[in-house]
Amino acid sequence: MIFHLETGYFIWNFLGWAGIFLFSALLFCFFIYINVNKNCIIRVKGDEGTFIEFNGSGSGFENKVFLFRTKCLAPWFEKHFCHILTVAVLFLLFLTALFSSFGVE
Amino acid sequence: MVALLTALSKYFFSWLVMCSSLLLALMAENIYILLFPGSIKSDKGHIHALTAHFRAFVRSMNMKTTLPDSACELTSVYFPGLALAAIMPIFASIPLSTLVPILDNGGDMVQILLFGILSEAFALIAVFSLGTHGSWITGRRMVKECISFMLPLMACFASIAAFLSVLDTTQGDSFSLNAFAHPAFTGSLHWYGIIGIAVFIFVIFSRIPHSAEGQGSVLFESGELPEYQGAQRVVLQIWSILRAFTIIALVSHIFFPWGYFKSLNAGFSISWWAQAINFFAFWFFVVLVRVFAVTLCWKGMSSLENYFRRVPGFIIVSLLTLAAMALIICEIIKISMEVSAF
Repeated sequence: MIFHLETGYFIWNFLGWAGIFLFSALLFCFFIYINVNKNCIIRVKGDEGTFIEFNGSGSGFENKVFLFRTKCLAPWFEKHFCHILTVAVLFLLFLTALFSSFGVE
Repeated sequence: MVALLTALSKYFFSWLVMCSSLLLALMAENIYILLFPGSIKSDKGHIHALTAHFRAFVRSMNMKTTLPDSACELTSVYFPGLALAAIMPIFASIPLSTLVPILDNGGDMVQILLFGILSEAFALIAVFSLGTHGSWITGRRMVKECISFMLPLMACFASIAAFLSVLDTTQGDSFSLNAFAHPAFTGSLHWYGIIGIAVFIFVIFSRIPHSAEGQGSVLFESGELPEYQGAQRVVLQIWSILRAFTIIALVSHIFFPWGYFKSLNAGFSISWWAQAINFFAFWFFVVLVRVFAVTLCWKGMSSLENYFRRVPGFIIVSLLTLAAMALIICEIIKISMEVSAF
């Protein structure tokens, strides 16, 4: 397994990051577990309890983002070849990064 | 086996040092409340404001754990812990947060941004998984705050990295935190570069998520999501305070006058003494920045938004970010011309 990624441009110490993250996650989750277990969880009635659908009645910027998502992005994501296209684009980006000399000494 | 135990003890001791440094974040937050009292006011006098957050957290921990009916238990209870854990690698990348270096190559800005986004994602999942209308409103506010906070930060890192790659003092790794904090970077800036960096710092500090009611950088305001109580809520509140403090410490580390302190410590023959002075001077500087400079930026941004009432806040932030980037690009062009002239 690659624990240390070193290129001409950056050095990433995956083992160090994962060590700190997993160690902290373990301790913090254990801290929550002890406190939750001690007190038990009580379920209370939420205000609505349902997911609120965006109805396009927000501010101007939100409307524009909503329209962009539904009119421009959604038709592409609904196409059957969407995942193949994504893989192809990623592969092209990978090839560009591999064969360009950017960042290499 | 011995190597595993050694590594574990190294991580554990560094983790303890990080936690003690992070207690400073809560202290800085309480000093802010003491000096700039908002809605958290104690009847027993201002001195009680110094422990306001500690008391609120302990009170909240002793309450029964409650969740809304519609909540997904696993994510809304345990994901705050993962969000807080994802902040720790960012904090560990600041050399003075751990006395034993556990990231041998120092921090990397791309790594810092990745863990920042990961941490935000965990916190968002925890809030959205409550499934109530209140959590939907809070989650949407968090998304907006995250975007308007992360974009200037990314623009700042990318601009400085581009400048450093032109300056050619980084030996290839322009995104390294060590390269950012090198005295050669701040020493080689001209006036428009300095203004550009100042504008970036103003935008980043002013967009640190904070309450409008003078409660500092806690996530939930008083009375927000009352159906979500217990240890997980406390962890999310601490996560929000630590996120702000870590970013402030990171920016302070980049612009801390390391060159001045190295020359000041040159007279000391004992290295640990110089290290101790650096350690205390740096964290004192970070607390000062948190209490005064960040508050000034918050006030400055709210004054700007009040002055240009018809312009939305994100337009002001975008324009300031673009202006800062343009100034740094001018600096890059000037440096490139100087390099080509030689």
